[in-house]
Amino acid sequence: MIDSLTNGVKNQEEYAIAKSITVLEDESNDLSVSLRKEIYKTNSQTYVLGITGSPGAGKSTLISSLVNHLDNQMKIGIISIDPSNKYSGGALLGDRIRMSNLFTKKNIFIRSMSNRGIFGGLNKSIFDVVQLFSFAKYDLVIVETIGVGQNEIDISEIADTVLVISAPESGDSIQIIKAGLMEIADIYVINKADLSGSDKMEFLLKDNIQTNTKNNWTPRIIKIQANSGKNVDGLLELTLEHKDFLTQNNQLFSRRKLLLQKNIRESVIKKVTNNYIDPKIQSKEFKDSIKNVTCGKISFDETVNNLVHEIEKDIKNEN
Amino acid sequence: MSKPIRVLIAKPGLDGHDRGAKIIARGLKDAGMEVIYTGIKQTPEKIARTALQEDIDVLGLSILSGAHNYLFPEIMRLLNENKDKEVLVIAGGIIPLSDYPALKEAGISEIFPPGSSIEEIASFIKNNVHSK
Repeated sequence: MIDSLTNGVKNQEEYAIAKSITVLEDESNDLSVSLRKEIYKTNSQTYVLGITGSPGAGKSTLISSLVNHLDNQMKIGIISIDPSNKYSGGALLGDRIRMSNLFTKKNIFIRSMSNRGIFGGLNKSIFDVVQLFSFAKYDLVIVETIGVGQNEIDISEIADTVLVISAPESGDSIQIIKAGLMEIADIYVINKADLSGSDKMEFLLKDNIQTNTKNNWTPRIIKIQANSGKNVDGLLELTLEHKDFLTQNNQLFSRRKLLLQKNIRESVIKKVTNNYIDPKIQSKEFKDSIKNVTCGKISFDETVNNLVHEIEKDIKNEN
Repeated sequence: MSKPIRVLIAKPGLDGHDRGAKIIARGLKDAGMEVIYTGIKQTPEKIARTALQEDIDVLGLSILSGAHNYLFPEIMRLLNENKDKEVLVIAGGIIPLSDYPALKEAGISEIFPPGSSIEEIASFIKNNVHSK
């Protein structure tokens, strides 16, 4: 089963890629561990373009327009993420509506994902899905975040180039500065440039652009009209310029290494919590001892330190 | 937590009104499903390709224009070309009762006329979706 799946992905067969994403998204699926093992056995890395910005700014429309400017021999994966409902767990995934003209293009694979309740604007299996496209030797992956505006910064960890898009009508330039989106933009896109207010917005953004101290890239600002395609070729040039900049400075894919480090850290924390910390915290013995903290027999910090010592002992004894 | 059921709500053909489709999409979302909605004027080719890439469990077709007898069998034909896939297909909209038998013969599992409740549709899906 796993062999037919990975061979299918290698041959860029869409049913295999589609099925693999379903497997990677579902941790309870037995295949996910072995599939993950297979897809990380590759040296090829696909360049990732991230697109974020507030709802209605034109993220999906921009993707559609950008892709139409690209060579139709390029294999492109598009991942669009929309929010899931906190209560039902369901989601309405509507990003495809603006990409209808791409549905039958042979070189384009589009997948809609819900964030499955995770904050930060991405789905937690996104890293694996990007790796899947690398394994399949796709030329480009475009990731579109959910677009709620204030917690989208995770995109800057997975994408090599981040486009932050906004529209003048929303009057949200201050919102963007507040939300921390300025700091993550490699290219700042002002969409719907035909509307009044776009010059003012450009002026305000110029005042707030800062050179990234980590890599010396100064974010660019560009005005476009995604729906008519106006100046989208200019945006494409800027994107390639950023990609070249990263390549020349040996920084292409460097963000992903940091993210991998972070993901490993999170998985370790989860395992240690489940195997060592929670059994202690939830034991009757510990619950009974909490009253000693409330009545002042033992301090909060002492309790924490005692617990850490016990857990350290447990881990040592196991080896 | 089990994997959510993935549903594609699609409107084939030329009708321009999609309030019904949107209400169904929202209702199924509230029933805990991941619902992909692609908007109006979808060709059978677009619907089948989307179904393949999104690895859906259920396809819901909404049609008001009267072209169902042509479009539905064509969509079923293209869907069946998708490898390794069992999709539950349901339909709704303005479809005369006399057309039901032929459409069911073509592979539409159930047809929900105007007045059907969301609960009815959601429970039909939950009871009939192919376990993968």
